[in-house]
Amino acid sequence: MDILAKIQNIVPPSRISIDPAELYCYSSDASYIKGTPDYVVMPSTTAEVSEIVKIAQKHRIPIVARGAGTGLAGGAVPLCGGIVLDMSRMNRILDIDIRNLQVLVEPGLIHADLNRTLEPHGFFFPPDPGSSEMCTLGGLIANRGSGMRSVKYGTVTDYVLDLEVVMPDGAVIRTGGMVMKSASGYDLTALMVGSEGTLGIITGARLKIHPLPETQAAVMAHFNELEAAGRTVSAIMEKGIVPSACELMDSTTIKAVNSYDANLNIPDCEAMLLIEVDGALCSVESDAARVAECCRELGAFDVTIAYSEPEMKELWAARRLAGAAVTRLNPGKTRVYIGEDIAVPLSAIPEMLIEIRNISDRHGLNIMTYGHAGDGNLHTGMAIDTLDDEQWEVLEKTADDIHRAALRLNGTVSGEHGIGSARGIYMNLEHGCAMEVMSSIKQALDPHNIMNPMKVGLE
Amino acid sequence: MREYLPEIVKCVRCGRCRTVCPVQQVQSWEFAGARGRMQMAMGLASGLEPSAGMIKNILTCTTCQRCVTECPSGADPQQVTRAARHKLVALGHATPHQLEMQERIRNTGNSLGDESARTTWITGPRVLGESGYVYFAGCLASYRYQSTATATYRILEKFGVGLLEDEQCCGSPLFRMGLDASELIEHNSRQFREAGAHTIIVGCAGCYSMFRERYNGFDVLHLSEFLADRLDELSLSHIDISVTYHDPCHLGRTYGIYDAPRKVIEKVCTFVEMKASKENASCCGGGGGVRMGYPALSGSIAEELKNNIPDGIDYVVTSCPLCFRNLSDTGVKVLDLAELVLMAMK
Repeated sequence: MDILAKIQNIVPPSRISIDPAELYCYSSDASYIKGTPDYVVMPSTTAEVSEIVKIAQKHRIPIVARGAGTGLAGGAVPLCGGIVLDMSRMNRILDIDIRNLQVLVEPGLIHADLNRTLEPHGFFFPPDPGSSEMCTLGGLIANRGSGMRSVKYGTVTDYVLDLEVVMPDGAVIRTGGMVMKSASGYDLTALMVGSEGTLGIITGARLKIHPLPETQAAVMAHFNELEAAGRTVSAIMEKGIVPSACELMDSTTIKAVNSYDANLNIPDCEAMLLIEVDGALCSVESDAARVAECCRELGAFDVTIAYSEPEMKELWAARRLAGAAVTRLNPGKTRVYIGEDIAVPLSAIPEMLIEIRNISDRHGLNIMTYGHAGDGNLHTGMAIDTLDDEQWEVLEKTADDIHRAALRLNGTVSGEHGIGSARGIYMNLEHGCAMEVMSSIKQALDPHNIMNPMKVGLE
Repeated sequence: MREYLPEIVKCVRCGRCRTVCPVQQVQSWEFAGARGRMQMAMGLASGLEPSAGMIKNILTCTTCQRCVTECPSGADPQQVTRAARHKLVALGHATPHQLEMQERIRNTGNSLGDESARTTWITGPRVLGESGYVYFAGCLASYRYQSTATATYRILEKFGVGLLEDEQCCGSPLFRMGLDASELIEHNSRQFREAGAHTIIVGCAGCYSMFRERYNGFDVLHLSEFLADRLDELSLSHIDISVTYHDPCHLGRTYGIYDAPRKVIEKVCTFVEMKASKENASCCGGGGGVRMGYPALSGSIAEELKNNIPDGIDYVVTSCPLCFRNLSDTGVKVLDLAELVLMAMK
């Protein structure tokens, strides 16, 4: 029996595709990485995933899990063909357990849908990616994502209590449990978070949730110098204030955001900091005033504090889509996600901003810079004519310089988007001998290398 | 398709359209949504051979425009999808339902293939467009929802609005499905000129967008716009019913006509907004040839829309017979705007 027939024994034909054009749609995510699968299958249960993995194992063919395909590093792109599992049908919330401060979800659930469901209960799931409206929780967990509020609330790692994982031999394991902490054995949950589908396929997740803060305020501070905005970030932290978000936007990002939502009308300036504080009303008012004062001390002009929810929502919605919106600024150029996710120590932010400016000048390519400055995670954005091979060459050199500059400053090539295959070449440089440990773990758990091969810097 | 490459590459594949595309909401597959269609169009432009999957997925777009209005990078997947439809037809890949639509219109001048006269719904004297305003009834109202056509005309004739001598399909079904509508455009344009029309009034969102997009030399008004400016001349009484309003995609999201129908409705009865409305309104699933080619999918999208209907209302009012038809088929009580107004006219 051929592989297709075996898969058809597990899921109905309506949930399998081998049509060339349909497979072509699965040949990329939001990155520039390409690779076409031989089969796309849409499982709806853990048992189906397990059986399909067993087929892949038996025939030694690659198997790659995919959520919404919003990844920015090719993590869900099947570089070696094989089976892509589209997990979007497994999108249920199985349990909301407020008493134990947790939820049980399937991996295909859209991030924003979880928070919309939790809101009436007065709770939320804090990791807050820009792609909240479209990314899946499985993808977020597998890439150890975070987002705008990680400066205060941490990354997804801090919220995963337990994962259900289909291992490379088809066995189904649980990595944790319902308890809020555990000192029992190796931390397999932490191992699976960020493993990008190279060790197993996540089919369920028990996640910690957090009470919604009583209120929020957003401080908007405008700067005539980008580095001054960078310096302000660490100055705010030094004052002992922990904002719930601290976003930096340079002049190009501001133009992109204004072009996406003209109502915002952000002043034309070199940089803007958008700093959110949350908590009880009395502390929010006091913290917002202190943040505003700090911004003014470091040279900000036109510093305003917004308390109105609709106003803040609109601003955050536009900020979330800033990365894609840059394409609107020049009709002939398209944003390409490459070199877009470096993170550096907070104290190195001003230096990194200078590096980025120098790299931009050196290659003659405009680089927009924005991101979660509060945790040192800077997103850079470059737009080129994607039909021009020479511009691609310049783009790749520019991204390479950005990655290497971040590593020189004791940073990382990925703060939250993952390594995929786009950043694999930097893994030895960043991790040194630790890569051998990662390689050993991979070899031990997936000796035939069927789980998302050629990712995370592994073969 | 190569000429569309600059538009195709505007898509940064961020996936924003995934959660708003009504087809993808129902089918989940990557290839069922706008991003998948952009990808397939890229393939088509780069030498990927058309396959059964490509043809089907390019044709399942309801042309609801939601991907266009939501796209952060300013891409227009709908324009690209339409171009891909035309390309596939040009390459000889027209499907049986596309060919059937072509035949129906060629043989009968209407999208239903109905061989009877188009104007049997006219009960009284027929006025030609001396006022310069002409009512274009459209195929569905002329043949399937004659009470809508009658109601519309009974309202409009008070304002001296006339009819065409020989109205034929506006061409929207052909154009949306990737087929040639030029003969119909020419025919109807000639009719408008001969009637001395300066303004065409339509009760169908599909006709409205077709006239706005593909016809030249005439103003176009939807019935709701025409009436919203003349409410005081209509002697309307208040009816004791509560209704919500479904924004047809080709009227609302495509042309921003949100206020006029609401103004008319609020004048005559109690109005409650849908849970998602205006630019966020759900698609009924009927447009783009999807109802004809993929009826099960079309019905599933309409079923999804029912989740948006507020509790306790008597009717869903709409201003497009295609939306009327698709929603009615789910068991929802639907009322065309014209019929609502006629109920309220003293």
